[in-house]
Amino acid sequence: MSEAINKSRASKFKQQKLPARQPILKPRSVIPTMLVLGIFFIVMGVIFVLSVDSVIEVSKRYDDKCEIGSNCTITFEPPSDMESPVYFYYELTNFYQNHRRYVKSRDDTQLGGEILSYEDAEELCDPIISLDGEEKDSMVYQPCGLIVWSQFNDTLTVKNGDEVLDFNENGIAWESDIESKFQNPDPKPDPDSPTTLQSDFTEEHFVIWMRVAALPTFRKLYAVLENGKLEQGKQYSVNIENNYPVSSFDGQKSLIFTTTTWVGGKNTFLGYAYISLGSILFLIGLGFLLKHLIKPRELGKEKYLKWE
Amino acid sequence: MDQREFNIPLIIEDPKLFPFCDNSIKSSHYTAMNFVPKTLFEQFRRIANFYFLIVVILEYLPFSPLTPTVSLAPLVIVLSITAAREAYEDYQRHKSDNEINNRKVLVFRNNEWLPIAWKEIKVSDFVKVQENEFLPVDLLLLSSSNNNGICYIDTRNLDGETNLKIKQAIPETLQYSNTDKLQDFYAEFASELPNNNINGFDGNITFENQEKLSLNQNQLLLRGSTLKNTKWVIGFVVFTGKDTKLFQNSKEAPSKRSSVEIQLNPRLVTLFFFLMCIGTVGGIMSARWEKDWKKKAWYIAIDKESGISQNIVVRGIVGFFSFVIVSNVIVPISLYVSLEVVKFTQSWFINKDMKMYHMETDTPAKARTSNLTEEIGCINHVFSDKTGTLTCNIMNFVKCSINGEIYGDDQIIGGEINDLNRIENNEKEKNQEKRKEKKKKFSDKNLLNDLHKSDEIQSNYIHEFLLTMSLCHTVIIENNLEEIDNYSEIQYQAASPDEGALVNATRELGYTFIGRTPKTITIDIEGERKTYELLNILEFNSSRKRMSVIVKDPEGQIILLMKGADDTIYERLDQKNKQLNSDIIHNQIESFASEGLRTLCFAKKNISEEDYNEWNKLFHKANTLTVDRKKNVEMVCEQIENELFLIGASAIEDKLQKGVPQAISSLSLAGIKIWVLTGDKRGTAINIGHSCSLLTNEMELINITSDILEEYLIEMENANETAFQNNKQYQPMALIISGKALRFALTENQKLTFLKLAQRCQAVICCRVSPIQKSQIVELVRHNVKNSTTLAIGDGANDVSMIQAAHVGVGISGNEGMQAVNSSDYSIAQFRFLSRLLLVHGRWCYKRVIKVILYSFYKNVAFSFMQILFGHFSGWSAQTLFPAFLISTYNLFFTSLPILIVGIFDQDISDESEEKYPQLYSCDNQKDDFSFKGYWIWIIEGVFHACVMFFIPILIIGTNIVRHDGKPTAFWVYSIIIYTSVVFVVNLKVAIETTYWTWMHHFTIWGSIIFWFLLISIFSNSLKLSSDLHSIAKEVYTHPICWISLLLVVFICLLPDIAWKYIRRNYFPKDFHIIQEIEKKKAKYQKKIKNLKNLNFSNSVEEHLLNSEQEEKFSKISKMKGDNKYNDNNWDISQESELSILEAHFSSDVDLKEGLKKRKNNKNKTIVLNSSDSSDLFEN
Repeated sequence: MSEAINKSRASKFKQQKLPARQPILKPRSVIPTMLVLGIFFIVMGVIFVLSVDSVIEVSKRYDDKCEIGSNCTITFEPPSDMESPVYFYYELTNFYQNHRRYVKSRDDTQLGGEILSYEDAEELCDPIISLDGEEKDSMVYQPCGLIVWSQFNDTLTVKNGDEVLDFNENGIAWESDIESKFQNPDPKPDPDSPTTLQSDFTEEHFVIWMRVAALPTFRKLYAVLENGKLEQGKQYSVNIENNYPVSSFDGQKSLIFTTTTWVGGKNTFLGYAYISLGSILFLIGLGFLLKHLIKPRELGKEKYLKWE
Repeated sequence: MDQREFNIPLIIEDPKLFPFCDNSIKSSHYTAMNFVPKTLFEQFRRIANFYFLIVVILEYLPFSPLTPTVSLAPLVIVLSITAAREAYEDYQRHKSDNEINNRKVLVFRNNEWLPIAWKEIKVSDFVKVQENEFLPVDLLLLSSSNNNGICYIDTRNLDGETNLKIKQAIPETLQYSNTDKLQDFYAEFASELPNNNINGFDGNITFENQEKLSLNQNQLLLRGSTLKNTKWVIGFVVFTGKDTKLFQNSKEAPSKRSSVEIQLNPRLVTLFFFLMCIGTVGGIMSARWEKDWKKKAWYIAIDKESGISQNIVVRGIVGFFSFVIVSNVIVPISLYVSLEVVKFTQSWFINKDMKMYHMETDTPAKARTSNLTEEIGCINHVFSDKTGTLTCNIMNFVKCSINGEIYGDDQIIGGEINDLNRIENNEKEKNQEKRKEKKKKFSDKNLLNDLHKSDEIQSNYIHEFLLTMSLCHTVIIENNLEEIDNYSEIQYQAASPDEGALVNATRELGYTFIGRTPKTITIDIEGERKTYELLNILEFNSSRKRMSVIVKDPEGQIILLMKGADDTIYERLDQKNKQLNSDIIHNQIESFASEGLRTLCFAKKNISEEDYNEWNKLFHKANTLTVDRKKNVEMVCEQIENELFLIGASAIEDKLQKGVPQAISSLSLAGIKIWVLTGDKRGTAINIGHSCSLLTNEMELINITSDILEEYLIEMENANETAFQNNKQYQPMALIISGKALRFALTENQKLTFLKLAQRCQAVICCRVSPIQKSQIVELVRHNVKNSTTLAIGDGANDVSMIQAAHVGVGISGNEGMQAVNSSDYSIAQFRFLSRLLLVHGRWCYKRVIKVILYSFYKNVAFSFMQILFGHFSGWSAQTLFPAFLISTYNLFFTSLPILIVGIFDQDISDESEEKYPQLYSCDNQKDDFSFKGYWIWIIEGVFHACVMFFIPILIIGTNIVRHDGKPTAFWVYSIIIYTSVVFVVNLKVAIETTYWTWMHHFTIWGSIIFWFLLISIFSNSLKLSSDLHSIAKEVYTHPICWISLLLVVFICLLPDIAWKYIRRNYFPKDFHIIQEIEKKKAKYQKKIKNLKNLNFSNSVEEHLLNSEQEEKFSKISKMKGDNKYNDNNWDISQESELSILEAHFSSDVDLKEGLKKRKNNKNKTIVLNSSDSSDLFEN
């Protein structure tokens, strides 16, 4: 016999015999898992429903009650006591902040504090680049871009009678945004210059606006009531400097006051989705169980092979 | 000009005008200069790569929603991987080209022998080649170290044949063996043009003032062969470089593509249409949206945008391309690379499989192409050669019929006793006997007795029979006669194993062939040396089916001796004086054949001097022709090969290879139709068919043998009637058809009838077929049977055409050289490995490759479809749902490795089961997986997952406040939540599809998910890398809503999948499901037994297991003890035997407990044995 030069080593890898597990979906493991998971999802769902139930949310549309350019007052009454923190949002509808041309029309280096040349701005900020479209570095908008240019500019003040409530308009944006992403340039843009669209880049309403929303209906945080509460039955009013036009695109503007729980605000879908999924899992598990009890198939019997 | 003519020496003033090509070779495809453009061109011929090129170009357009880098990066990675491989391979080719081109050989320049590089050699140069050197060119032999101008060459590299070939210079050139003579050499030379016929050459040479001399292949030494057993040869160069026969032959084998690869394209096209639909919907909707919203949505300032026309149609087109660009990932760019890696690994596994390694010849299986790994998982027709493929091709001369008398029948007389003895023999002795049988020698006392008897007639016949056997052949002797003391040490080199067997047999019978020169053959007849003058050899070829020699015996009588197939010889017998016993011999031949023996007939003819001389002139003339020489020579041969006198016939046995019957029955169980195509006689073929269990006793044999068209038609009609009778629907049938009948069957208007009949039969045997018929049959099936996938397996040069014609060609690396192997796609050492190659590797590969393809489609559809959904929510603006770099890394980083690992390692069932249940290998079953239905199921699942992954987060997050601290979400948060679910769902989908979990599966699947988190946390910590994603990980993952949504998405996506898989397994199981369960049960069983063994001395576990049957136990044990057939004292219980007992019980479906009980019974004895041994144990 010749020497076995071409013989390969009997390694488990080469012979495709690596130790392996080959799990199969047996009734004994699948049915209990289904049932347990079903119960888990139902329980979770119930927890969500209960938690969300404790959230109190008040919503008031105001664009139909107010002329653009005027000051008006909207009143609301909490249905029950709203303990602090109470979050105050404005909601816009039909506003496509996620439109491709809108999303990209900004320059993050400029927002991070750098002064842009016209060429730089032109690349990203189109179509809102410079004042009157002049191709000069000094005429570049501070900051440039559609998002900045279309910034929400209504002013909202919450009052109890004549007393202005202590709604805090700071600490509402992401910390990371204020700390590092948005930086004022040096020198700070002149608030009176026509090229200045935003004089303070770290102003939190502005920062929040710059984080574009995913969907055409969105809420953006305006202020937080950190102490005290909004009492049931009391009339509160919101003073609105109504500047922002939405009628052209059939948009609506609303005010939202809400408390939160560990999963956020009034989010009823969550609980029902979990309960539905849990029930389906449970029912399927039950169906499998019945089928298994009534007419099980023995596993691993050669008689089931087609050719037997 | 249909001739090549030149003078020797050939003197051309200007080297540029040299009329012939130089001798350098170039196998490389690229140079450093053209590598980049050429490789790019090659790669963009692939439709997917070209597609991505178009996408990149589109992305350079100003309106593109994505920057070109997004698609360019993956494309560049994919292209550079392939280019790197190409570059490496080409570098190797350059290296070997250089090495070969710069090899040195002695060339006659300036009147002396100088070592010159191969590439410098020119046509008409004189070259001197030394022993064991390679021939650098096609050389015309002038002289050699042998006085007669003989030399031996090894043509292994050329035609793969391992026997040495003799070449001989013509006598007129022998003088040119030294430098002085060569200086004066002057001649005119003419030859055929370069061609690829290795076994033929026509040329002539004319020396000054002399007659034209004929030259043929015997003087031509071909490039690529090696000089052996000859000190040196001198010759002049005829063909160089690409004109040589070697290069004329090295046409690339037709490249084969697997049917899966072919089917891949329409599916890719479907995806492409899908993409076009997305684009169209996107385009129309975006145009509509812009028309409606142009005035309204002041905040987007559409009218202020520069550059692009406001025309609605233009907007629509821009929208179309935008959506095409953002959804381009729908065509999986990594698919081809993944497939290449998977197939390469599969081929490597095939090469390394120890169970396909043949110890005796040290030959592993070899996948010579990696294109077809999945094709072998779906074979439904196997075409097999017989000799050397089903049989060993080790020939033994076992019987002969001389003048109607049968010799070599010793075994039959004593046969019965032998058989009885054999039964009593135990295994070991049987093996020894088998080994002896291999070298079994023909011996029959009767034959020798008759030879020496006074009965002159018979004695004379036997003499002539043995004489023919020892003279009529082309065998040469390998070793030097002077160095050996005993004739039994002579090593014969035969072109065919049959010839070797015959010459070996005559040696045993005292007629030893001891040497040949070009003009003589010397034999030793029982101690007396006799030299026969060799006048002509009329060579064997497959169309002549015979060979003859014309010799002059020592007494001066000219004789023609011939051997060949019985029909060719019977046609040429002397019709006037019909031999009385020719019919008897014919019957005897038939009976040899029906025993499965190969038969050859022997005949002779005495020729008068005048007749011979006259004929020889014709023969010589035919042989000096340069055009149509072969045809003319054959015609001349016909003129003398007639009026023969029949001497007898030989019967040669060719044993079946080991494991062939098992392999054949496995393959037929697997639903594969087996066709045996053989050059043997019908009887031989049928016999072999039976012994390899291709034909069974229940089968009805249909014979088609006629050689006249009318008869053939009648036979076919009858056959059809029998085959398609209603009451015979389930009757297994076999078709046996002869080569002559096949001529009719393969004609255009008969072939479909024939095919229909053949398809009805379980087995088909075609006998007496020619090589060209073999490939015609394969092509007939390949092109006319729907969904056929054909495999041809063979070992000889005559199988090459069939191997190349079939979808998959398999070569047996056997005794007939390497030609079949060299043109095959897979080579194996033994036929029996074919069943493992197909049933195990083929099936696995098919399943794996399909999984890789379908999954790649799925994951990309799931990913891209969300884009069009998002279109609805983003004003049809083609805003990408994900940051650009996450789109480009999706295929490469997060989803490619797990499926690759599945593609490499997945085993739905073990190889043992695949071999045990060949029925699992059913082509139709396999093809189901890749049907359009299967494809759409995956695509629809992709769409479903896309919807779930997109809408659930929308419904959960939407406009809601989702954070405890009330801070608002943003677009990129939503985007990252979705992307996270994509990574989870798509990877868990692989997990669900995985049936074989090794550590690598865990590593890649969980690793991909972990890698995603790693990557996103890096990106969210760096403002420079991505300002959009800055601190996104913290904002997403620290809030419960992300995980709540993820849980919901993952379960909704995978629930239908798991539920369906459960229902299918438990209530509509496929065969592999059952077998998985059987395997599982078996593994559990073996584990239990192992545990029991570990606790040999303590009975507790066993007690525990058998607890329930405690009361029955003792009664049953005692009962079983009674029937235990192993119940003797010296019974040795080994682990294996015990296991096998249990397995036997297991497979006969006896319950676990019962098996254990039986084992318990055995165990009692073990314990007794053990306890008696235990004292020894403790002492040790």
